[in-house]
Parts: sequence; C-alpha cells; structure tokens
Amino acid sequence: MPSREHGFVWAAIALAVTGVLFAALAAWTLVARSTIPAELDGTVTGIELRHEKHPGVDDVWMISVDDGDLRHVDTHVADLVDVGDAVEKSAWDTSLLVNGEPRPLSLSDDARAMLLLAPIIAVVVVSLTCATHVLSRPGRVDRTA
Amino acid sequence: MLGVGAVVLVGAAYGLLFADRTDYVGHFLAGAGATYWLLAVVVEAAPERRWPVVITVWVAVLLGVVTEATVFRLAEFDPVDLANQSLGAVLAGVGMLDARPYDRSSTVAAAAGLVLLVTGFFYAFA
Repeated sequence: MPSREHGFVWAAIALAVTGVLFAALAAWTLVARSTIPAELDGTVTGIELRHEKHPGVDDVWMISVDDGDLRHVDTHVADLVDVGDAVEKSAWDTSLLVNGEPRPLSLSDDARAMLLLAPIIAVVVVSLTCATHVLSRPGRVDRTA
Repeated sequence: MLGVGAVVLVGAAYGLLFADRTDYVGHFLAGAGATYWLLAVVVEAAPERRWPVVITVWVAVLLGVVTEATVFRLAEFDPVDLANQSLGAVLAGVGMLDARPYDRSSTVAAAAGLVLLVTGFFYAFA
C-alpha cells in the first residue's frame, strides 16, 4: 500500500475510533442512569433535584445510597424511592427491591434512542471517510503526515 | 461539502430521535461548528498533512471537556453533552481529512462552522 494511503487510513482510523468511543460513552451513560447495570444494596440517604438549561425537561435527579456518592438516575428511578428506603438489586436486574417490594426498571426513551443513534453515527463516519477519499480529486500531491 | 452534509444528516437524526432534548442536537452542531473553524485555520497553516486534522479534532474535544467542566457546567459535568459535541467534532474532522488549502475547503468550513455554531447554541440554550 502506498505511504500516502497509509497516512489517510491511519488518520481515518484514529478519528473513527474516537467517534466510536464517544458514541459508546453517550449510550453507556444513558443506560447507566436506569441503574439496570448497577448493583445496589443499602439505604437511600439522599435525593436531589438539580436544574439544567431547560427546567422540567432536562432536570438532573441524583440519589445516594449509604456511601454518600451521588449518582445521576432517570426521573422514573428517582420516583421509585424516598430517603430512608432500603434498596437492593443485582447488576443487570431489571427489578429494584424497595423495602422488599419489587419495582420494575426500564431504559429511558433517551437511552433507547441513543442505542439506535450510536451505530448510525458509526456507519456515517465510516461511509463519510470512504466517500471523502474516493471523491477527492486525482493527481493530488503526497500529503502523508 | 460532503462532511457538512453528513453533519446535517446526523443532526436531523438527533432532532428526530431526541425531539424533547434539543440540547443534544445543540451540543452536536456546536461541536461540529467550532471544530470546522479550527480546521479552516489548520488546513491553511499545515497543508499536505492529515495528522494535524486528527490532532485538531482531539484538541477540540479537550476544549469541550474544559468548557463543559467550567463555563457550561450547570447541574453537573454531563458526559452525554461531552459525547454529543465530540461526535460533531469527529464528523467535522473526517470531512476535512482530504481538504487542501487550494480547494476552498477552508472557506466552506469557516462558513459552515459559523452557521453550525450559531444554530447549535440556539438549540442548546433556547
């Protein structure tokens, strides 16, 4: 493979990997807010509502369980618990035990949408990379970095 | 131009999938717009190179980390906002990988960057 092609391929791979990592970060963060991936066992010690740019739309609900560390959760998760409630679940369980009573957990609409959008973005990045390279004019000078 | 089209396409997908969360598409467009501005300068200053484009995208991502952690930090440092604006930066970079100083890419990038940045701020804060 000519060195010019190597230069393009490695630079394109670097950007594509960067894009995939951030798509994964967005999807994982939104999934984690459902608490489905988390293991919980303790007492709710705090529930806090923080406002963002659009109060009522992008509100941030934070809860802490025993250790005091605040974790950002979906609105419907915050609605399931009160301060002092005992909560328990294993990682990846879709049910949360609140004072011994099971409460269903589910992914938010945002999480589902991001799980759909993330692979779409990955396909667009790869397609754009190929199209940009193919459509670039022939006879260009060597631009290998 | 192809890269700008891809940004608009993905921006439309954000708008459809996150109809209530206009801040998501706002961060995405603003990330792309700001990065296009940086790339418009870099392509002119460092012609015949591709890695400066990649490094500029990474610098834009780092600038995004700093702004999210400081001036744009409201309720918390939001990794989703960071990811959305970084994805815009990556798409802008991919579209400029084959850009050259003499093919009007910088002019297009500067003009598109301004429009995307203003539109992004509008959606993020309106």
